[in-house]
Amino acid sequence: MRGLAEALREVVGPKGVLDDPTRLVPYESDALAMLQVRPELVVLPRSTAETARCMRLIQRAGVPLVARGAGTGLAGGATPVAGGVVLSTTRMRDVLEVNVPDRFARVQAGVVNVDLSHACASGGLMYAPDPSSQMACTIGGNVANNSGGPHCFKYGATTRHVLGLVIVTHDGEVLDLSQPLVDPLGYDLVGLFVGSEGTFGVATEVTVRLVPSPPVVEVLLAIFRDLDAACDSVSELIAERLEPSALEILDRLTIEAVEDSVFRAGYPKDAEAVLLIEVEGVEPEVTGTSAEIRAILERNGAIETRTARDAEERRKLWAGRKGAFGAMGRVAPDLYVADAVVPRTKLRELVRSTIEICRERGLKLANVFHAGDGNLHPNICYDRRDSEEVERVLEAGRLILETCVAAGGSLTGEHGVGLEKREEMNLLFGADDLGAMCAVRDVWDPERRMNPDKLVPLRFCGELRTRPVAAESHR
Amino acid sequence: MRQRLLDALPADALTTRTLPDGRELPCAAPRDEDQWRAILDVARDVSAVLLPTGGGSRLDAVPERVDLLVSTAGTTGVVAYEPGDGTLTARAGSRMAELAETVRAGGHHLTPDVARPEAATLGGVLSSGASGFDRLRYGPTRHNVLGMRVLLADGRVTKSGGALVKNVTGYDLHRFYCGARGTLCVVLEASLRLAPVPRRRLLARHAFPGRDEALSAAHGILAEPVRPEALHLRGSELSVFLGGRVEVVTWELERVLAYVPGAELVEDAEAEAAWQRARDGEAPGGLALELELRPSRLVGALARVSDLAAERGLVPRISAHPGLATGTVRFDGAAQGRAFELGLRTFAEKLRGELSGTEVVQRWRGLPPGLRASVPALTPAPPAPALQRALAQALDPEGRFARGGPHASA
Repeated sequence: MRGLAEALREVVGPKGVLDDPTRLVPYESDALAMLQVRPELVVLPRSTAETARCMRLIQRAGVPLVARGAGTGLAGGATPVAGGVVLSTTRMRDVLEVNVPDRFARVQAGVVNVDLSHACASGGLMYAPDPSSQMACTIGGNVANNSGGPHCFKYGATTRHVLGLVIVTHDGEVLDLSQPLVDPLGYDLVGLFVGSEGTFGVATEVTVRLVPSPPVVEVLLAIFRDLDAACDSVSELIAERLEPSALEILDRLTIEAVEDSVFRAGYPKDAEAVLLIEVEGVEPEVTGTSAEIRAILERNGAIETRTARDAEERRKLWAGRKGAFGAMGRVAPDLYVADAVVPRTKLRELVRSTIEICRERGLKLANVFHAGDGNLHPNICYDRRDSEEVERVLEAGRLILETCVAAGGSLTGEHGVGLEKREEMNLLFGADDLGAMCAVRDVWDPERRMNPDKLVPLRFCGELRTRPVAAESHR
Repeated sequence: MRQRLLDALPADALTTRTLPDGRELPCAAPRDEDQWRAILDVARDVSAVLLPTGGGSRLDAVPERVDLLVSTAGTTGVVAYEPGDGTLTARAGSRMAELAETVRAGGHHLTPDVARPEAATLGGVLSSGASGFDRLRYGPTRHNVLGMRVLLADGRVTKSGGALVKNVTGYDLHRFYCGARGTLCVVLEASLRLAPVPRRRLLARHAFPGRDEALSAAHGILAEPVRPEALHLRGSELSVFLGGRVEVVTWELERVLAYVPGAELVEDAEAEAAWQRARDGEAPGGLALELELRPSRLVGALARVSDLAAERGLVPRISAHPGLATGTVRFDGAAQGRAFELGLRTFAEKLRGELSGTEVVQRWRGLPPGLRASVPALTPAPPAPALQRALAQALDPEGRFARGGPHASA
């Protein structure tokens, strides 16, 4: 390893390699803090060319490689479970091109999501996917996880916005798939790569589609006395084929946490649930859609529907939603954020099931989720120092996923499978399905060193063929 | 092979088809997954090369080595239409028109709205990767495919994705299969995201004196906050198809008329009929050059196409979707013969030289046999060819599905 570190320093400079154990601590996990494994070293290249040279050296050393953006992932996707090297993209932070007439931008992978939107705002354009972690998460990480966010209800997840990529493969080859073409030439390699969770290669540059910023935006806050009614409102809005741009539910515990935190948004603390709705478009679109939405909310028992008066109030209402995960820190030291998807016709019954599963296990649950997409986020509060509680949390998480899958749902809507849901892939996919995934994975990474142990259950991809890593690197 | 296929399939599921090039090929149309697997078993035993086919609209360019056509014609029907969730799951041989009718009853619009939907099948559309006439509003086909069940070359039936509008569980293999032209698998079933049927549809149509004026109007409209379902240029006639909430269409029309004063307005059933005519006019067939480029290059590129064609005595029909930056240059119905072919060859060479670079895609369809050697069907070549080949090899190591010829993806 020392030899590898020296060789990498020659490529990326002395500041681009970390191997002092104390400086490796932040790289032990992503935001799923339950499992931590210290990497042997971290390398931070500044460009595609440097990444390619690093990847060749790492291949020669035969050690596992985990690519990482900001580490905001919630499924353990960036946790270096097999040790080895973590390659961080955070020194690749340049916006390379914003093309307003042709509505695309080209950025290095380490550009922070919100910085991209700022970079194109003056051209009247925006980058639509907006994960709650958008103040920190990187575009490269979004590509790896096919990230979502509240506005993906209207605009779709990351995959619908990636036009091109520059990828460095396991052996340091650079694949330039960066042209913003109308359709892929040959197979859709870009579509295949997005969401591959770092198991296919490292994206170093991303070309994204930009969309016009909406001329009029209205944010509604509907207040409910019970969570069921909020869920039913969303199911009816979908069934009526109305098209707001975001539909988010926050339950009572989340509201309390937000209102007691710096993200205070003005949500009523006595409500059992609020539904945050954004409608955008031209003026008659917003007016007409909002009126129909209000009627549905009223029919389903909303006790009040407020409209944000100005941009500042809209910002506050959204800051509360996006800060909800952070605000939960007031309730418990740790938060397990589940991420199941369910058919939108079954929101009420499945949200109830998650509540029941946690109640039976004496766990504190907060629900804040992308209701319009059927993407549940049951947030279970716990303390990682209490191993018995951790066991109960994991059991509840498993049961929630099983329940959602049995009802026609899926394991993850936007966080990815990572380490957390790897074994649960068996709930959704059979041996042949997983076998096809492994066959494709092996083409990209025949040595199985790229983010090993993630996404596909181990027995379907067989034994790891990487060299064993030093035992002392693990906790 | 024939006898073994007859043993495995009902008698009427095995027919013979004559291709446009005169070849006669056996064609199997299994009815269930067991029959699909049985065909793959037979094909493996006799080392046959298969070409999956749907409606058969692209059989004019079948690769040289194909032993058996496998058709999804017997694999039809809606598996699930969930109006409350806005999703549809259907078997691959289902005709697009029938599926569109099914979901329309629940207030949904089936995208992609492709040419000649009464003949096109779901599986054929997804395998070809073709997008619809409605792409400007609803996006390319691959963005609306939520999941698939497919038959792999070794006979395994596998799935990816699901029938949920948001889902990142596992690799997006269905995105990979979409547009793979049957070289990786046979699509057996797919789930799509649906859109609402617009409450009002209106067409504003205007014939400009020339194409440049029409394109200028189109770009003016595209810079406005209007979201047409389609914006179509045919010659110098611009058609703006608006659709949506009643009051929004009224508002958008006002903006559109600023760029096309005096446009003819067509509503309701007549607008739908005009839509269908324009859509069906895009059906593949005949000799055509398809261009894909950046929006900012469209005007210049089409002008050069006209000039270069005129210099060679060629009179193509040019159509375009300015909002998508795609154009089609049709030479069907043109005089054939040696002089025509020579003119076309020099046109193609000159255009390739002038519109070079990786940001302009030129794709020829229906090239005469005499030109296939000298005019590349696709420029630029697909990127990462070794990776593309390796991926096909991984899923189909024995080359069970035909990869050569214009059907090739890699």
